[in-house]
Amino acid sequence: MLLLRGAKIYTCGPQGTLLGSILIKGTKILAVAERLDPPDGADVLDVKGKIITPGFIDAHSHLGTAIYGEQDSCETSQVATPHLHILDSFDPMDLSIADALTGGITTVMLHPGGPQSFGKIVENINIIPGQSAVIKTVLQGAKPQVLKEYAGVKMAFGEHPKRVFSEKATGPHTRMKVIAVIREYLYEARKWLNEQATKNENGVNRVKSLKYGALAQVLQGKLKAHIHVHKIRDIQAALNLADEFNISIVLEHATEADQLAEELASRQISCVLGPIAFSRRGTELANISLQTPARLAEAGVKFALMTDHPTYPSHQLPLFAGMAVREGLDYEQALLAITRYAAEIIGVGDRVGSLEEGKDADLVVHDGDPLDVTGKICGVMCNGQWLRGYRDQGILYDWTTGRECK
Amino acid sequence: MNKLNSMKKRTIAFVGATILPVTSPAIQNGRLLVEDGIIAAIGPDIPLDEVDEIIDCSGMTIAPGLIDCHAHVGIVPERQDWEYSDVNEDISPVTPYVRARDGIDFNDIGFEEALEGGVTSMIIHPGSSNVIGGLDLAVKAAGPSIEKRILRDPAGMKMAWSRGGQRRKSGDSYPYPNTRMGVAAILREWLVKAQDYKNQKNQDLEGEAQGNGASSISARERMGLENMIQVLNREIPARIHSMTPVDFRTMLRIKEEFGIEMTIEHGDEAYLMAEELAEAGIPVIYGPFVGDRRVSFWRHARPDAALILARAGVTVAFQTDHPVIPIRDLRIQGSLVMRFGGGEPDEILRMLTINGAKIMGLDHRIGSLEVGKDADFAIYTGHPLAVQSRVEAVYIDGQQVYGDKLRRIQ
Repeated sequence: MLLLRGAKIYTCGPQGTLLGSILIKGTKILAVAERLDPPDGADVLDVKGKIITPGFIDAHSHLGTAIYGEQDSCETSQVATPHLHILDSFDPMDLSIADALTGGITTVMLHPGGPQSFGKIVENINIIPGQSAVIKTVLQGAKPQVLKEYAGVKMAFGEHPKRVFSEKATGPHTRMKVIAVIREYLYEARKWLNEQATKNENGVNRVKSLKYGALAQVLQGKLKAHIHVHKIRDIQAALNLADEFNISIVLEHATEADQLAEELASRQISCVLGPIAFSRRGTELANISLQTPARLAEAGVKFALMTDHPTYPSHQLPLFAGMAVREGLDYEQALLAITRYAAEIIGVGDRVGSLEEGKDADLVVHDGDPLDVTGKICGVMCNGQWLRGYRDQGILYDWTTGRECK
Repeated sequence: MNKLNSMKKRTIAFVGATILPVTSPAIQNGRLLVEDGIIAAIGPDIPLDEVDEIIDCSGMTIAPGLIDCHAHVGIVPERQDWEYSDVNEDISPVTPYVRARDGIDFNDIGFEEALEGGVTSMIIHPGSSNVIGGLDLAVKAAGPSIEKRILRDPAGMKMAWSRGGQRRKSGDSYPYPNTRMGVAAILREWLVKAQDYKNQKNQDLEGEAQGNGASSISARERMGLENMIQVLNREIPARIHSMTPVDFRTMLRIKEEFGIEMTIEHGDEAYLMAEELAEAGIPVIYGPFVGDRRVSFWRHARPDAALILARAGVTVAFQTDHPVIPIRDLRIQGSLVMRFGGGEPDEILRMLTINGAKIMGLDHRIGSLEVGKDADFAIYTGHPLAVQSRVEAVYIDGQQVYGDKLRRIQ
């Protein structure tokens, strides 16, 4: 057991923010309180003057699948590939995994579909790039620690899929066709689902179940569709799709979501915003703004922030939250957007995202402001183990400089 | 207004702020006096009796306007798709006759975005498609007219190595090179051509017969060669998109052979030969630093690269390469290097201001808060390198060009 004593704790959970202690047993949090007496045999670490947050969560990332130009995150050979799974492209040798952990990012959602491109005209993407997963940024041998293997199905609307396929005879060349392809796949999945109900095990068409299995789970409400959208028109199309098939959706990027904020709030549709510091590149990003998080918060829309790694590296996530604070977002809301809200949106809220009894002991100890460059990270704990900092007991050091924290 | 009043200079005092002059130590609760667009005085206790207007800046921080030495503002327009870009004239790998100035939309929202981030001056480059890409322009982000905004025209000749100049294209009378050797050969060819043209011109001037030499070539070629002569004469530097020591070593040879001046643009791996570059006096316009591993030419990128260069004696300035990183976030480039590279705020701030001014050849006018320099500065809610600090107001030539009106004491 380990007792961390005397820090300012942003629990990001029901206990709010308090000055107190955290007790950790094994991989889990046993208690958080203003006063905790160390149980017999527990190690005690005095972290007075420090700030503790939950491990940060990057809700939309291509970590491990887009390294040094080796694009493994999206098939462009077909217009829709709902049967692909992102973990089949994951490379545990990506050094960015360690960077993410060092920056306090302990959980990420991996989506198929490419990062936004700085130099090229389009990113790699198709209309249904495949299935997403949630991992922790720790490796177990050559595999990441998988928090949720089947965590969602990625879809993409708008200019990007249009442009990727603009030269191909199959199209799509218009948004009409993008939507038609998705509807076609969902209808086929529903048909397959109905057929399953009347068949025994032997009658199942295994190729079809590969192709439609994940989409069927979306139709059954077991998985959410995570839809890449920027423009209002594409957000509207996503809402229409949700209505038509009665499916749960999450809006990814959601550049113009603030303009439909009231509706999103009343329908309780969540967004994963960003990367919010991207430039106003092209018509789709014409209205990107650092003020969007503040506007969504005001309207009551639940949102998380993303880095879209490697569009921006994962470890810059807390700085995006800081920029949102600068542009009017409430500080604790900004923290929630990279902790509990992110966990809830990506479906792992029962395990991570807040510091409370029974949750995974994933936390970051900060010296200074967690959401600014003026702060430094002294230690990162994941599953109850110090993976960065605090390895030498009692000595606080900062991983970026190797210097001792004052 | 009577004649006597109109002759009198108008003075504004900014009082109560923490002032970061960059070339001298920070001043707490300082005063900055501006007279007709020029900094007239700076210090803790400047007398205020003769001042026309006093602006309350207590709790704020004043820093010089930031300088982005490598951007494509207005030439890659905001909010439009790539088809609308005017950045790369990729008709041929050699286009020394084009000028960035002729492709810039001065009403582009990118200039407003620069002010939003406290950036007041920048060099706007043609793109990196071509080995010799065209003339650069140094401008201020705002001003009463385009002419008044121009700081230096031309500010350099854009060139590009490796990923830029080296492309696979064909069909033109000038096929694009696809090796670094090919890039070097094209550059040498045009430097030799320019030398010959210059010699021929001198002979013509000495009264020899006209018609055979310089005047027999096409207007387009002459335009290009005239611009290349400015490079040969060291009136402007070659500003060379380059990433790795392979590029830099050839550049050093060419510098030696032709005696030209050059800058390294991007220079992700320049830290690997920091001492040599310091000795050769080649500045590095470093960045944009993102810090991920998306592309292979960032394989050796490291967060303290700019610091290694600077500490070896290289003049280093940051760049956004806008719109690669929005120009608003120039200072965030510095924040990242401070946070992830372990730099000190003062040395980082120099890379955002005075070093850029030196690289532009304009450090007598901009880049620091000193008496006699242009009154270009931004007022922040906190230290400019903290991401949560907001830009409250920006002044260029003593005129407020961004932000709400500040509280007047007098």
